[in-house]
Amino acid sequence: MFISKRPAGWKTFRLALCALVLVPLVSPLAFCRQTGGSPSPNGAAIFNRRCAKCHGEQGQGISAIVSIAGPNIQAVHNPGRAMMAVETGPGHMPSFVNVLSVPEIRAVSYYVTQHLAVIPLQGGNLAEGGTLFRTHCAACHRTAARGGALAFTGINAPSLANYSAPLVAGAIRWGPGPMPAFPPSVLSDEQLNSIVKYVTFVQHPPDPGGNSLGYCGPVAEGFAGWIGVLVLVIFTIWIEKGGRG
Amino acid sequence: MIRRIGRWFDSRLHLAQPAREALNHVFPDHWSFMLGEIALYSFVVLIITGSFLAMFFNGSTAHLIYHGPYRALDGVEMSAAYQSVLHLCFGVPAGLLIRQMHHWAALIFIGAIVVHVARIFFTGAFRRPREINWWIGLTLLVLALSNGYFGYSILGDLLSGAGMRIGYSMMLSIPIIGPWLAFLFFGGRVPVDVTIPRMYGLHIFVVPAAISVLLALHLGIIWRQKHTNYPGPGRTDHTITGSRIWPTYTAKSIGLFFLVFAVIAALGALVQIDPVWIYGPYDPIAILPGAQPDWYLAWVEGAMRLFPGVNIYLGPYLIPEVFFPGILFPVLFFIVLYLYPFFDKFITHDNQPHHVLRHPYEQPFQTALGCAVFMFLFVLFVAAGDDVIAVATGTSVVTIRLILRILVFVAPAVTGIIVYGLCILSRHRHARGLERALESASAEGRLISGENEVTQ
Ligand code: HEC
Ligand code: HEC
Repeated sequence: MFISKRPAGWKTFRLALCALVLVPLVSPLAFCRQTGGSPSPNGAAIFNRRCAKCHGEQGQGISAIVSIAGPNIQAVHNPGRAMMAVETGPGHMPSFVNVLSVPEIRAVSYYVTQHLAVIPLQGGNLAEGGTLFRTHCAACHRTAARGGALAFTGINAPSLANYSAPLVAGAIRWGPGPMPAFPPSVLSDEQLNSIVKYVTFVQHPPDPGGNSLGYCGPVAEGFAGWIGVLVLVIFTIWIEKGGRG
Repeated sequence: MIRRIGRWFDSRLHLAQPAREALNHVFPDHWSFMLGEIALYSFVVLIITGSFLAMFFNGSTAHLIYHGPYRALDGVEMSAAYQSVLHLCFGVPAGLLIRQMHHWAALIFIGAIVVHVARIFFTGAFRRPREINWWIGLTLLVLALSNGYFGYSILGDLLSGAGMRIGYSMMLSIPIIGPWLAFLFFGGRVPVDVTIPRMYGLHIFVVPAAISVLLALHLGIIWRQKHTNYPGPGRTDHTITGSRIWPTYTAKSIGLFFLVFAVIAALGALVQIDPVWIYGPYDPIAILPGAQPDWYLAWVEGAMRLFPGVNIYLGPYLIPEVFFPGILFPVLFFIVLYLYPFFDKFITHDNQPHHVLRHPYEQPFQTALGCAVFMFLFVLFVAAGDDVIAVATGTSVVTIRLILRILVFVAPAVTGIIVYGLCILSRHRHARGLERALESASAEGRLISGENEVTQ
């Protein structure tokens, strides 16, 4: 939803914009170079200009004893949540609806969730990840991570077959929609990495037994079994015809 | 040489005469009379593959740590049962193939029984004098269903653990005797360590022995009563037409055995079934809502999903809602099936012994009823996978469930009405056709009779 295809020429445009805005400011220019490949350098710029004074340059928060001091937002993994904060201005934070355009809000929100709130993706243990996945995620996403239906909300937990590792990691911390968020107090970075490892593994598990039938479970197997029964019934007809055509 | 050996045995056992008689037995020719044989041969495959599995399966719940080729479970604590299944899948040559064949054979076994029962039902083959075999057959079906449940419940994976919990709570829901029955059966509050060994004993010994005995009885009674046949020229309630057991029938039957084996082997080799390594070991913390059973129990699961959540009190006692769809419904269903021969007698006022079958269209009501019931069961079966449908179609499971709740009544009614109409039509057409055939036959002065058929 939040990731849309950028039009061709975006990169050039982005660089031009970057230069235009940042040339006078030396230190942010260095920053821009650092994150050259990132999708939202102007997000960084906006953040540093508008938000850093309250949230700190890394989103770590500032420790002033004033009510407007922004908290640590490094655990905000949900771009929707960040956008909401920027638009509505919760508590003592001002609203930026009249200050920033919609693309700017989006860019700064992405900057917060994907650059300040990154989770180091290393370490972790596959088998432990499997165990954690079964206890924390399988109730909704099913054991094969191919998605499940939640009767109480009517919303489906999606199949995780096509999610990249950073997206999975982000979703675990963020908890989109009816999915609970798993903050570091519940799942440490190490455990989170184990889960991400397992999800990546189960996206392409070894299938020693042949076709997996989409990991749909016994109902799909039942249909396949009935195809077997039908084939055999057709065979009996064929036998009674004397084995001819 | 062979003749000499034969004579040696015969002079001691005197088998030649009865064998000759047996081989002269006539069995009618029709494909629908071979459906039961598909079940029989799947059972043979089950026994063969099951014996192999029993050499490697360890029906114990002792806890240990897995170390083996399946990386994603390396170092995970699990039951010895589950560990032995993993070893069977990844360590034993052909182990996975045999395991998958065993499971597919179970699905096909019960599927073939259902098709066979349907044939018996729609052609009225359960009528006097075959009520006993109808009951034995139904009992075989019940035994097969329960053994299937035991079979996939003992593996110790997450799915089977969830299934065991469902079975346990279903049994608990029976008013008054539920807790005792559940204790007797599961040996305590599930998950408890004694359940798997207990079910394993039932699965490999008690139930297969019962099935074998009843199967022998079933076949013996068919032998004694002779097989039924479809109505046709020269076929009466006193004769039997068809081919001799030897050689024609034997050849057909052995051919069918190979085909059954081939289909099961093909499924076992090409299509994954019950991939327990994906499910992971059973862990009471890891809840798995929406666990599906194998198809032959899925209709009960579907009924439980569609049944509305209502509280019904019996005096001061609350009857848990799973009791109605989970226990009462299947029990009543089987009671009706068991009593069906009496019901048929009641509506047809016919208590004569029959050896000639009736075509389904001759009994429009019964045929329509049977088809409606099958449609009902089919919708319930689909309902057991409502979550899968919801995810696959991207709709809410609440919507899917609502649609199925409507369909479960509408689809059988529509099916019944359509089938009833078709039966009436085809009864009419057959009556006209017969009239014409008789006219032309009497005009030419001959009666049509089947070719290559032996009458006894
Ligand atoms: C005037 C200081 C101030 C500025 C400027 C400011 N914030 Fe905040 N921000 C706050 C405070 C205070 C809170 C805590 C609000 C609360 O009470 O929940 C907050 C909360 C947040 C949250 C967390 C919301 C949540 O759901 O927990 C996010 C994300 C956020 N700010 C992002 C931003 C971004 C992006 C900018 C720049 C466009 C920005 N903030 C600018 C003060 C500020
Ligand atoms: C309570 C059920 C529930 C649990 C538990 C749960 N999820 Fe989810 N998950 C959902 C739902 C529902 C969505 C879809 C949310 C939406 O589309 O708004 C979702 C979405 C996701 C997404 C996609 C996010 C995106 O960007 O669209 C990922 C990845 C994910 N979950 C991973 C996990 C992992 C990993 C765990 C275990 C740590 C987990 N989930 C546990 C219900 C759950």
